[in-house]
Amino acid sequence: MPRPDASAKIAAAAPKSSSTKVWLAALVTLLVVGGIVAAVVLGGRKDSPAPGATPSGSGSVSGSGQTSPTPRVPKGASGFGGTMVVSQGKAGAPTLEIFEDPQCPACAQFEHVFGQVIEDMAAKGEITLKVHTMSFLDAMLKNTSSTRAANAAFCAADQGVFRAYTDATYAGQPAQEGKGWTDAELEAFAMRAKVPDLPQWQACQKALTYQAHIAELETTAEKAGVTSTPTILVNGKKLTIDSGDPAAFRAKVLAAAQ
Amino acid sequence: MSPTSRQLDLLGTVLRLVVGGVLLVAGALKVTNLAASAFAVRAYQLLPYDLAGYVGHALPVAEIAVGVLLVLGLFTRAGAIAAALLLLAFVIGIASAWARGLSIDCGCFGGGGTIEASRTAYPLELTRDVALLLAAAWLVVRPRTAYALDTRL
Repeated sequence: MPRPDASAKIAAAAPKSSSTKVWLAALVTLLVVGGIVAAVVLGGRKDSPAPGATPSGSGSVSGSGQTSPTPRVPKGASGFGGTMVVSQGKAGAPTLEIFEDPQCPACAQFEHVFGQVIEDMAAKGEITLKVHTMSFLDAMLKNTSSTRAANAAFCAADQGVFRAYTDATYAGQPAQEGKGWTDAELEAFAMRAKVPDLPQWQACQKALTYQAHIAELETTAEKAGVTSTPTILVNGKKLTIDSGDPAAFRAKVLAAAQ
Repeated sequence: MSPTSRQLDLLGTVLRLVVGGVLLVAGALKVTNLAASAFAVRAYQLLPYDLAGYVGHALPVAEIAVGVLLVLGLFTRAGAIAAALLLLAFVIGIASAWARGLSIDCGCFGGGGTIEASRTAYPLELTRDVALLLAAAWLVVRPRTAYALDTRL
C-alpha cells in the first residue's frame, strides 16, 4: 500500500519565514542604521554652536551661519576658546583657574564664599587669576542662558568689568535652577556692574558677538577633562575645597603652588 | 514539578517587556536632548572627545530601536543580543567610573555629568543594569516568548 505523501504537510508545518522575514530584517536594519547615522550627523552639526534654538529673551542664539569667518575673542582672553586672564600675578605667583558656568548654583556658592579672598589675592598679585567660562548647562537645562550670560560677561570684559559682571549674575541667579535670565535681567546686571559704555555693551550683547568663542571654551574645557563646575585648578592641578574658610582657602592655594 | 513550555514562554514575555520597556523609556528621555547625552558620555572620561560625542548621539536612537524590537517581540534573539551588548557596555562604564573614583550620574535616563559624591548611586545603577543584562541573556538563550510578533511571521 503506498504511503500518503507527507511533503505538503511538512512544508506547511515548517516556519513559513524566509522571504517576508528577510525583507523585514533588512528593513529594520536599514531604519536603525539610518536613525543612528541621522542622529550622529544632525546632532553633531547642531552641537558645535550654542545648543538650543530659541532663547527666552529676544536676542537670538543662532547657528554658525552668520558668525564672521574669524571668530571674535573678547579682551583679556588668551586666544580663541582660551581662558580669560583676569589679572596677572607677580613673577612666580601661582595661577588660579576657575572653571564655571553662569547657571551653576555651586559656582554662585563658591563665588559668594571665596570671591572676595580671590579678588584680594589677585589685587595683591599673589595669583594670576584665570576664569574659564563653560556653558554645558544650556544643554542640561534646555535653555540658552549660560551662553547669553557668558557673552554678556565678555562684552563687559571688553570694557574692563568682567568680574563685576559675573558677580552680578551669580548674585542674581534664579532661585530655581533652569529658569535662566531674560535679556532685560542680563542688561540690569550690566548696569549693576557699572559697564562704562552701555550702548556699546548692548550692541555687543545683541549680536552675541562671542558665541563661537563660548562654544569653543566649552569644548576646550571638556577636552581638558573638566566636566563639572566649579573646578578649581592651581598651576593646572585640581584643588579640592574642604572648608568654607577664606583664609584656609588662600593658604591652600599658596601651598598647592609650592 | 518543572515549568511547562508555556510557562517559560510567559516568563520570556515578561523579561522581554521589562528589558525592552526600560530601554525604550531610557532612549526616549534622552533623544530629545542629544547634546546632553553626548555630555553624559564624555563625563565617563573613557572615550576620546569626538568619539564620545558620536556615541552620545547614537545611543538614545539605538536604545529606542532595540526597545521597540523587544517590546514587539520582533527578531527577539537579535534584539536581545543587542540589548545585552548595550547593557554590558553600561555595566563596564559605570563600574569603571566607580572604580576610578569619579562622581557622576550614570545619565541612564537623561541628565548625567558630574554630581556631588554623596549623590552618586553606583550600587543601585549597577544592580539594575546587571539584572537587565541577565534578563537579556535569558532571551538570547531562549528567545521563544508568548505574544511575540516573531511567532506570526
